[in-house]
Amino acid sequence: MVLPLGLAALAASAALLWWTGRPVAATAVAGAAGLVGGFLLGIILLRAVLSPGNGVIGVARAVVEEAVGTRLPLILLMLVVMGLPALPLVLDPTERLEYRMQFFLNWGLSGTGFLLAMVTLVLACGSVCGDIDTQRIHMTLVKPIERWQYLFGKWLGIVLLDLLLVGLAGLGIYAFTQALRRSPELDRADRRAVEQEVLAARSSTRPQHPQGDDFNKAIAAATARMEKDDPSSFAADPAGARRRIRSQQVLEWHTVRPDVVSSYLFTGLGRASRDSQPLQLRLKPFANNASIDRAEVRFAMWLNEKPFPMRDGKHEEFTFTSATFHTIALPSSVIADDGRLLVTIANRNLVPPGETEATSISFSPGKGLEVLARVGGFEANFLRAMVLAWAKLAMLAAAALAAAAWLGFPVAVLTGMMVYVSASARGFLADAIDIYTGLDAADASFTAMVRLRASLLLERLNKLELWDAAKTVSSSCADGFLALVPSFGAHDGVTQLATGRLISWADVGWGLLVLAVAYPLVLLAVGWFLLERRDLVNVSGS
Amino acid sequence: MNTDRFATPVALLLLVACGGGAVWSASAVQRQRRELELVESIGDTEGMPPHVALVTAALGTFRGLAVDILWARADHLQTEGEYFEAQTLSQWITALQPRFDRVWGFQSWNLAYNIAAATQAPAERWGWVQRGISLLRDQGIPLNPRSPQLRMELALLFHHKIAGKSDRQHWFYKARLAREMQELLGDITTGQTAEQTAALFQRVVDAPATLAELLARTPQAQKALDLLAANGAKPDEQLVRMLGRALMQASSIDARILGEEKLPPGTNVPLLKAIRADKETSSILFDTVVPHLQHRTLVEHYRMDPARMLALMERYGPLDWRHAESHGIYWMEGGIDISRSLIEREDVNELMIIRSRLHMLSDLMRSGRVDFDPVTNRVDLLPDPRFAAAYERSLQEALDLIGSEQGVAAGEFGRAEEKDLLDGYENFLNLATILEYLYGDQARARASFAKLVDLADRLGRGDDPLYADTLETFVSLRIAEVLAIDVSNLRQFLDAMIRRGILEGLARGDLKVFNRYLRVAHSTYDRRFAASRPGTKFVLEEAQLQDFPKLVDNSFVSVMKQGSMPLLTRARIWAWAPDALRARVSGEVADTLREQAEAEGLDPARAFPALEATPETKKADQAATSGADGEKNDQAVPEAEEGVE
Repeated sequence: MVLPLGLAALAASAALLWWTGRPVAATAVAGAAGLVGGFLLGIILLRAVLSPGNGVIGVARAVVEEAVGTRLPLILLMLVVMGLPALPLVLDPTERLEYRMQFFLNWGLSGTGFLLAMVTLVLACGSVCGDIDTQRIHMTLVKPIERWQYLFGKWLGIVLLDLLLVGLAGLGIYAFTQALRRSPELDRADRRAVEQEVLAARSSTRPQHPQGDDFNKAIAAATARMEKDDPSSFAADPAGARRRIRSQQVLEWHTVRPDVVSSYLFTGLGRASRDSQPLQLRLKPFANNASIDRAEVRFAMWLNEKPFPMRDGKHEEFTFTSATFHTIALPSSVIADDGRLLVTIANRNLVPPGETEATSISFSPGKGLEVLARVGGFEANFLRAMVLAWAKLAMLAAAALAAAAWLGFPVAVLTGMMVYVSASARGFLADAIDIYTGLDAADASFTAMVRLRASLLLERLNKLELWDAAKTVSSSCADGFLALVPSFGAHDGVTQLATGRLISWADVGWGLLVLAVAYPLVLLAVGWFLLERRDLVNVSGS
Repeated sequence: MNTDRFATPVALLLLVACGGGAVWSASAVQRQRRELELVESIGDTEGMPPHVALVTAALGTFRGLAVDILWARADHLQTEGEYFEAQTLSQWITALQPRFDRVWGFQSWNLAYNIAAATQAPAERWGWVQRGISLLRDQGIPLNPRSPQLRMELALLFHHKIAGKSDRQHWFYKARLAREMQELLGDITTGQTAEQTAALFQRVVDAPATLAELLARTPQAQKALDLLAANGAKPDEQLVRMLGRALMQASSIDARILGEEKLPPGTNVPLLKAIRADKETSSILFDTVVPHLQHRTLVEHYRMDPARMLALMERYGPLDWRHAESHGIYWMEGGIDISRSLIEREDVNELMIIRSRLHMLSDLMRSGRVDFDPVTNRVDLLPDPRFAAAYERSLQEALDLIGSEQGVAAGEFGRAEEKDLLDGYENFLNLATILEYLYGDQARARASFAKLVDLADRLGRGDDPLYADTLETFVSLRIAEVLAIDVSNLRQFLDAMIRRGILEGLARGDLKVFNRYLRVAHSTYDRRFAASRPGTKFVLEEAQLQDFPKLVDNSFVSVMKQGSMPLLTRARIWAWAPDALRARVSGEVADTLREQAEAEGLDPARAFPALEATPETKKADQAATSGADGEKNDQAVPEAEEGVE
């Protein structure tokens, strides 16, 4: 009764604010009313969906009721409602609209994701630990329900509730994005960037370096040379040496020497050509051997063998700063009918003092040379990002339930948070551990890494460097833990969305399979295993 | 048992004694730590903006964690080439570490260099440079007023990023800064002596800092404020800039050539009409309200103290605030003053600050005269030898400081020595001699040359043949090196000198400079190959050189036909070229130039007016284009007229 009344009051306030000439505040209040109304409707829908069943469905319904009773989801929605309109206020209004929108999307989605993760952890741990502590679990388990069904039911209830919350928060973020889109831009280029590079889904196409026999033969020859010239370092890590040689070959293919004109073929751009959508060539050039920081890189470019760009009848050259990403806008007319684009680059670097030839130019393989073409709209991309966000919550809910199956509430929440932090910052933590122990694991294989750590440990023990030896042991444990946790960065929809890059259905499917199916299955199985062996009689009420 | 009975009271007694002692000594220790500047008051929220103080206090111990996360994120995004959060993240990081000056320095450098370098559009790039400047000037320095480092960082931003040439958009930055400052202060240096410039700026210094003070001092200013209010204007920075823009447009030479004499967009036309109609009120407006607004804008927007600016102008010469080096000197001076007042100076590299200041003064000598046209955004930075004296004074002060008991800190290298500054002084004297010869007066050039010879002697380079000959020989040889011209290619050298005279003299309306460049060219031509060895005409033939006036004509024609040079520049050259020269080449280039003018929408008669040479002008002009400039210069080119004839 209170909620519908509150809802009506919010709607009336929004109307009043609008009528008194405060459209921004009115939109925020209307948004709040919309989200709360949506939540109430969603709960009704969930109850309807979960009403017929017993067993797993019954447990799921109980979780939903429990969550509604705690008001936690509502508090979360309120935080989202209050936080989203405040977010643009922290931004400099003289900043490019492109940047403000990207910032809003990034922090809006990440912040909401964080809040939802906290709610999920508290709900999951609170639900199971609360059942055990208050002995409610016995009332459930006396029914014909297995312990695995109990855990699965809890997970189902939480992920369904998460689905509702993700949907509602996503709706809010989408609405505010559209409102921000209408803000004044800095200049025409800014508006173009907003429409074509942020509120878009652009696929990335990269040139394929030569594969096949010739390439493999070149690698084999280089490997043989290394094995002959430096047998000891080759023997230490043959797989790593091969990988390094391969990387070197690929890098050489991405290098434009002063005496050679290099061409890179991008394929599959037919759709951009048909839809007359502009493209962006994104590159990160390096001036090789230049000792100057941020040296300039000069080159001339041809697109499908036509000089580009032409101004006043002259073929202009590009001058970019080394080791920095740059974007060149290309018209769709440059693409050939078969969707191919051949980018030819001639090195026009100056000859440095004391040298006889200009420095080479290289592009980092992968992201350092790519063509971005619009292949879809923002809305569908946004939807896919939300699906990925939900998948992460599904995994987190399973981890929290598994922890709650054998730990008390505070420790279980902390464990869940540790999983969340590790999954969110896995790459960063892995680097930090390597730096902490003085190892660079970037190129090392798993076995090589184990060998490296073991030899380092022995070496430190031999030298009686006990503190360093302890660091090696603890970092190995941390590495082991990280290896078990999935990387949210590998299924990152947020940065992709904010930078207007396509989140493909294949990525979403893979993300769902890993985060919402495989990990929950394993984690729930572990939780069930632990719960099965737990003496609930002696624990409950203690 | 007895031991137990006594242990507790003794322990308690010790505890109380230690606690009391700690309390008693704490305040003294704290005071001493502050006095010796051993602490950075990171947690001190005094003087911080409310949001920064709130964050600092609220996060408490977690501030370090938050800072780490934000740094890691900023670094990660930058590596990925995504800059959308750069500005906000740097604001957050500095808000979390407001008293740590290196953070401000790093973040500012990051915005102005790394991120700016990743953008292509000049305006966007300039935006990042401005953000870097603003971060230091508007936030970092006010929050760290005792940090010489931050002032130095800011000075170096002006010196290196805007005044320097390392960024390929540096001309855009120079033009933007010149526009910004000319809008605000007008052009108070062109054609003025140093004293006149200072007198003009004195009005800004003396102006009241607040409106209330203005009205209290000059009640009649109310009349001007009423006029503004009646025309929808407020007494603020926007107003003074709007008036500045209108004045700039009115005085633009390029606007006259282009026929664009209308007012710039955003001009409050009714207000201008009202000002023109009411002479008395307009006089009050420009005498009281405008200087007040200029004063206020300098203080509030640029965080600069007008009195300090004037003191620098009186000390160093006519600093033009449209020039980035002037700003650099302002902030560098502040850094030096603070550094000298610090007790602990080990971490400060005063030598670097002093060297940078000398370098800036040297740069002002090379390019301190600003010529800016707002219509075409053309900015020319011309030599101003008046700063030579300022450099020498500043050098002498630095040498005195080095010799003083306190000495000059050189960071990790200990204390600075006299020789640390002498190489720079030698470079300065080289440049000063050439510029004074070309742009200043002969006597000063000779004095500088004498000092250079003396210094070279002290540095053990006295036997260099370069210093053994005359001033003219030194200039003609050294200028090639300074301007990176190979003298062995005589024709190219002469062409380069003549072109330089055309571009630095005629294109800027300075015939004197044009003539002096020609004189250097003629001196080389004459000394090496002609009149100094009468009868050796064969050398000229071997070098395939024509007579000197013909060389001038050819170079002039070549410049006028240079399609890559803006037509407007060529129109200016044509306007300032001697009549005889124009008459001689007119048949070769005039028609083409007029056609090009028409094609670009210019009035050909205004851009390239026709001319008929009279016998009088012809004679004078021939003298000019032959290398003699009308000044007494018998020693330099005694046979010049003979050579030309």
